[in-house]
Amino acid sequence: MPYQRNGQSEHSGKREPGLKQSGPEHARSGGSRSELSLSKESRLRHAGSKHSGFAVSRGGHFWKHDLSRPLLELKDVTVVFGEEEVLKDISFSVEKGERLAVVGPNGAGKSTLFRTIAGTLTPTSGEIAIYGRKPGSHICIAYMPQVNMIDWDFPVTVLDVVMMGRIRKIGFVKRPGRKDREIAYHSLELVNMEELAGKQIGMLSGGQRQRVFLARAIAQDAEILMMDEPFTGLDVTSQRDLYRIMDNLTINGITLLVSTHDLNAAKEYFTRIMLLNRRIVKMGTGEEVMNPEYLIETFGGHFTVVESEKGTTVIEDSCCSHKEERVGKSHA
Amino acid sequence: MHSPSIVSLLTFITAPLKYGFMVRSLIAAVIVGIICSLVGTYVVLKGLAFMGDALAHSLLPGLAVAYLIGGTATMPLFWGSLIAGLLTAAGIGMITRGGQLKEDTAIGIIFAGMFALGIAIISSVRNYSVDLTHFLFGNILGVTRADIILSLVIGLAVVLLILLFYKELLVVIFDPILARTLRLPIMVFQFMLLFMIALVIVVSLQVVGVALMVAMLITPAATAYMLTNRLHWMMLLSVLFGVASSSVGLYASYYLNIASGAAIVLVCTLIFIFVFIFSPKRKLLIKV
Repeated sequence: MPYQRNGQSEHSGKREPGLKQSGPEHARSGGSRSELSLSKESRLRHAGSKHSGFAVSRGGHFWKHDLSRPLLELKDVTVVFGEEEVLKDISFSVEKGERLAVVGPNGAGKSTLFRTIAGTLTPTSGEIAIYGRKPGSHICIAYMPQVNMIDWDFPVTVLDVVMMGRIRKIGFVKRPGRKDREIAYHSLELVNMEELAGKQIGMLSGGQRQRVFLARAIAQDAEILMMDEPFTGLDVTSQRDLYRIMDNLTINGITLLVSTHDLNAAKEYFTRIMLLNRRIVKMGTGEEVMNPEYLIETFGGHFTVVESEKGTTVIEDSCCSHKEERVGKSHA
Repeated sequence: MHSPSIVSLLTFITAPLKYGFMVRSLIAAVIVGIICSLVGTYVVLKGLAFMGDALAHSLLPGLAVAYLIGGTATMPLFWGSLIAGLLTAAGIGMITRGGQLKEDTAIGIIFAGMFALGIAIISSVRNYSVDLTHFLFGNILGVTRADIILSLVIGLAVVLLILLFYKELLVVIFDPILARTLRLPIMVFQFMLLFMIALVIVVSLQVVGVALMVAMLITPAATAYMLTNRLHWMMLLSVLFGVASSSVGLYASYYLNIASGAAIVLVCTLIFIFVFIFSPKRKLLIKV
C-alpha cells in the first residue's frame, strides 16, 4: 500500500479542510486508496504560497494572484506557424481543482495549446492569465510534453531529475536543502517510484520514465499540471496507475489539463472535455460534448462511433497504426 | 630507509623540476587539465565537440593579429583570441538563425574561413612556419609567469560559475523544455556555457595548441562518462583524468623527447581506450 505510507497523522491543521471535497465525484472507487496525502508537500504548499495569495518564488519574483479570478484564463489566443493558423481564437477558463480533457484529432493543436500555456511558445495574439496575471514569470505551471527530448544516457538519477523541478523554488546559487530533498522524495512516493530514486534514468521502463516526470511536476509545486497524451503507449495497468495518481493530485487541489484521444475515458474521468480542432468546437461535460454533430466537426468524417455497454467509443481514423491500437483498447 | 625504486621514482619526478620552465609548464598543464576537463563535461553532454574544435581553430586570426602587434605578450594574445572566438560564435549564431543552414554547416564554414584567415596573416611574416607550429601544436615550454596567472584567474572564474549555477546549467542542458517552463533565462545560460568554453580554449592554447585542443575538452570527459551515472562524479573523474594526462604527458614529453601537446593528448587517448575496453558499463558496446 505505497500510497498510505504517510498515514493520517501527516494531515496537519494547516491543511485546507475543503480540499478533499474538491476531488471529482467519480474519484475512483478505491476509496481507501484515495485517502492519500501529499502531506509534507501540501503542508508546505499551503503554509507557504497559496493561502497568502502569493505565488512565491524565492528566485526573487513576487506575483500577486487575484484569487477571485479563474486559475487559468485564455482570451482569443491565436498561434500562427508560418502561414498556418494552428490555434484560432481560443478562449476558455479553468477553475482551480478542475480536470479538463483536451480531445481532438492529430494536428488539432493540442500540443500547441499546452506549449503556449506552458510558455514554451509565444501566442501570435491573445492573452493568457493565471489568476488574472500574465504568466510572464509564473512558475506554477508544470508541463509534461508528449515526447521529452531527453538523452536517457545522461548521467542523472531519478532523484536528480525530480529535484530539477525545484530549482526555481530553491533559487539561484543556493543548493537543495533538506526540505527540498524531502519534497522530491515524497513526490516519488506519490508516483510509487521511491525505490528507484538512485537509478540512472536510462534504466527505467517507459511507464517509469513517465512517472519520473510526473514526480518532477509534483515537486515543482505547480498549481496547474498539463499532460500531453500521457496514456499513449501505456499498458492497461500503467493507465490505471496514472488515473490513480491523477485522483491523488486532484485531491490535493492541483488542476489537471490532459490531452487524450480516448473520448470514452475523458468522459469518465474528467470534469470537463474540450473538443479541439484548431479552434474550440465544444467545451462542456461528457454528456454535453458527446454529440455526433460536434464530433464530426472535431474529427472530420474520419471516425467511427462504437456503441458498447461501456458507452460511446470514438475510433479516430487518421493514422493506421494508431487506429489498431485504439481498436484494441476499446475491446479491453 | 627508502628502497632504491622509490628513490629512483622520486628522482624521476623531481629531476625535470630543476628547470624553471619545467615547473611553469607543469603548473600550466595541471591548470589546463583541470578546467578543460571540467568544461569538457558540458561539451560532451551537450554534443558540442565539433563546436569546440571549430572554436579553437577559429581563434587563429585573433592570435595572429595580436602576435603581429604585440609579439608573445600574454594579454594581447588573450584579447586577440577571445575576440576572434566571440566573433565566430556570433557569426555561427547569425547564419543559423535564418534557418537556411544547419548549425554544423554554419560552424564548418565559419571555422574553416577563420582558420584560413589566420594562416594567411601568419604567412605574411618571414619565419612563419615556426610561429604557426607554436599556435597549432602549443608551446608549453614557453609558458610565462603571466600566462600562469591569467590561466589561474580564468580557471577560478570558470570553476566559480559552475559551482554557482550548477543546477541551472544542468537543467538547461538536460531538459530545455523544463528550463523554459520554469522561466529560466536560457539564452543567458547558453551564452555563459559558450563563453566558458571559449575562455578555457583561449587560456589552454599554449599548452596543447589549436589543432589538439578538442581532445583536452572531450577525451577526459568522455572517459569519465563511461564510468559514472552522476554529473558531479563525471566532473570529478574528468578532472582526475585531465590532470593525470597533462602531467604524465608532460613527463613523457621530457623523457621521450616528443612534442608535449601530442604527448598529453596521447596519454588522454590511452586512458580512454583502457576505460573503453574495461568499462563496467560498456555503454557504447551494449547499446548497439
